[in-house]
Amino acid sequence: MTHSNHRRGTRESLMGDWVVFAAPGTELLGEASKHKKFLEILTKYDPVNCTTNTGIEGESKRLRYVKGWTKQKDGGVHQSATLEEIKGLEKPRGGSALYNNKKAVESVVKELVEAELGFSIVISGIFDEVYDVCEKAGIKPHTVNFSGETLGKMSLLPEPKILEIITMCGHHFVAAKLAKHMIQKVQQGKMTAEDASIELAKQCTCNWFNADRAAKLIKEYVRS
Amino acid sequence: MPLPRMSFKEIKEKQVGFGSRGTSEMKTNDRTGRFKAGEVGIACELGRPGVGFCFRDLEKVSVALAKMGVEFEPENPASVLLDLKTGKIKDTCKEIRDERALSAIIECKAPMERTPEIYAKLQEVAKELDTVFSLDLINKCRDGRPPLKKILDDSNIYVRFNGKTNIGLGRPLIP
Repeated sequence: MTHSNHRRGTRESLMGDWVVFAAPGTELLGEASKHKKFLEILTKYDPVNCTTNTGIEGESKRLRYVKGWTKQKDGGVHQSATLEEIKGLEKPRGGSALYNNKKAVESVVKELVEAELGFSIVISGIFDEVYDVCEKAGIKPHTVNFSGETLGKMSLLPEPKILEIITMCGHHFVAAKLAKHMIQKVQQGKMTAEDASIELAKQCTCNWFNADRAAKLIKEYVRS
Repeated sequence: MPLPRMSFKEIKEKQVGFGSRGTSEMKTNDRTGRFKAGEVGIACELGRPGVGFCFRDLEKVSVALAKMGVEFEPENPASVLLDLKTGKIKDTCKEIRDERALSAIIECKAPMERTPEIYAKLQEVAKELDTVFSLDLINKCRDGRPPLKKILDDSNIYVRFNGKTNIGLGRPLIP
C-alpha cells in the first residue's frame, strides 16, 4: 500500500502535512503497553488526526480522531473518537497521526527513538525536512519511496487544485466530484471550509486526510 | 448483477490471494529487508489517482515490465493473477481482463542502475493505456540517503520532493 505517497501541493502547503505511522503488521507485534506508549507519544503533540485499532485482526475496530470532527457530525459508519478515547484504550494496536507542523514531528520522533518500541515507523512528508527531523533525533533514514510522475491518459485526471485535496486519501475514497460539490457549497455560503473539509475527511477511513490542510486549500480555491 | 466469485473470507481461507492491494513494501523494510542495497523497488498503481482501471490495462504494464526482466513481488495480490515470466494474465483468470476496479498495484524490483531504461519502457506503455497510474520508486538508503536520487537526477526522471521515509526504528533491524 502506498496511500500517503502521492500527496500533491506546494512546498509551503506540504509543510503543514506530515503523516507519522506504524507500518501495517505492527498491530500484531508486542504487548499492549508498547502500543499504549506509542499512542501516548502520538497524542501528546496536538495531532490534527489520530487513529488506532482495538483488539487484533478480525475483531478490531478503528478509532478515528480528526480535529474539528465532533460527535454532532457523525453519520452512518463514520464515527468520530476523541484523543482521550484513543489514549484510554486498554488494548490499542498500532496507529497513526497527522501533524500540521514540523516542530511537533521533531518532538514525536525524538520520543519514539527514546522509547525503543521496535515498530517500523514511516513518515510521509517533504524529504529534506524529514531527513532533518531524523538528524535532530540522531537517526538515519533507512528506506525511501519516491513519488514519480503520474503516467497514462492524463486527460482523465481532475484539475490540479482538486488533486491536491483528494490525493490526501491515497485509496481515493474522497471523490473529485464530492470535493467539487463541497467547494461549491462553500462558494454559495452554505457551509464553512472547515465543515466541508471534515465531510471530506470522513470518507478516508484510514483517517489520513488532513482536514486542517484541506480547509486552507478550499479557501484558496474559493478566493481564486 | 452476478455475485462475486469469491468472498474475501474465502480468498483468505483458500490462500488464493493476499489482503489489501499490495504488500507492506518499504514500510517494514527495516525489519524485512525486502529491498536490498542497490535495488530499486517499482510499484505501478493502476487507476490512481482516483480514475479506476481495467485489468486489460494492468496486463499491458505487467507485460512491459516482464520484458524488462524485473522480479515481480510474489506476495502482491495482482501477482496472483499473472504469469510472472511473461506478465500476462493467467488463462485460469482470463475473464478478469475486462473487469474494472478502483486500483491495483504491480510491485517488482530490479537493479537500480536499470531504472532509466525501465522508466522509459513505462513511459512507452503508458501511451497505450485508457487510464493512469501512479509510480513509486523505492530505494534503501546508504548512510541515510537514497543513492537512487543521483540516477534519477542524471536521467531527468521527475520525482516529487515529498514521499515516504522509513526512519529505521524497526527491531530486529536489518541494516
